[in-house]
Amino acid sequence: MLEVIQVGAVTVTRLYGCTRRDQYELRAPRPFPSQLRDRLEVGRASRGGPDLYVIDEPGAFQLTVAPKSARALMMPRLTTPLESQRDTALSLAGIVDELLLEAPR
Amino acid sequence: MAIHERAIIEAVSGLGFAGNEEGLIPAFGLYLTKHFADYYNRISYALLGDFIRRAPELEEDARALLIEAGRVCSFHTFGGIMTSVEWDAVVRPMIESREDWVLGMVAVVNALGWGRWEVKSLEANERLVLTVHDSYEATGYVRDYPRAKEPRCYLAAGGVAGLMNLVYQGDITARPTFSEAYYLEIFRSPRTFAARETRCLAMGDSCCEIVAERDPI
Repeated sequence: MLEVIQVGAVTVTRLYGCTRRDQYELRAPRPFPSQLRDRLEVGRASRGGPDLYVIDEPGAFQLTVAPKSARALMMPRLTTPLESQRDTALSLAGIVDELLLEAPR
Repeated sequence: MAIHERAIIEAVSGLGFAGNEEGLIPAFGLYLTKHFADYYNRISYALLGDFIRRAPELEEDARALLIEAGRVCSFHTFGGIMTSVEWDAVVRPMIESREDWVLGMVAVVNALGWGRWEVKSLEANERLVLTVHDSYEATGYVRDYPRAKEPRCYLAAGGVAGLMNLVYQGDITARPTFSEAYYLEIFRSPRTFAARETRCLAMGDSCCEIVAERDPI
């Protein structure tokens, strides 16, 4: 584990992958809202069902999402700089946090 | 048991594992690759053959090395799978006991197409007997080499031992970090699990059978 960053209600853990890419785990205290997939799918490919799905942006990252477990893992592509990987992870965490705030408890 | 293998296979298959533009398959928090089973088979059996030709006294050491490769592989691969987002979503909700961790992992193996694994018996914390139908190691061996006098599924044997070590010698339920220190702790323990293949397609048996038991090194 390299770093833990809090983005609102979302905890982002940066995990060591190799010298050129890290992995980012996103966790929240309650299940991810169902609207999350719609938001993430814009301009990106997705596959899988409602309990487990994958969002893929070629040349950038893959995000595997388990909404009921309130857990997701971002695996960046090797070609993206480390700082950009971090920015992307925090941006995704921001989307999750925003939807968590909007979703009824 | 609470594990529904068909549901697991359907869920995992639904993710459509395929290589991306990097040639890798990001899945289970791991970077998997899809390649010919024969690629692995040729390398491992050539290694064994070289040992037999050049240093026959080290034949058993060669087998031990190939099985050790399976143990290391299972430590990282099975360990990664059992702590993954995919596992949390699909398998973990079905788990009611520690034994279900073993059955769930076997179901995922069957989704990945490494042969058809079937648990014949599982004694908690003691012993696992598992058959492998269409083992890719033995199937490749039968096609390319004469009938074997010894079993040939080294990676599977190491994998089964590794699975039992992750579940019972270590504590996979606590989401450990898969470091070298943790590997040594559970695989070099006096109570570590070792596996032996008791039947093998390569020897003329109808399927392969692997038994994992506690077996001090």
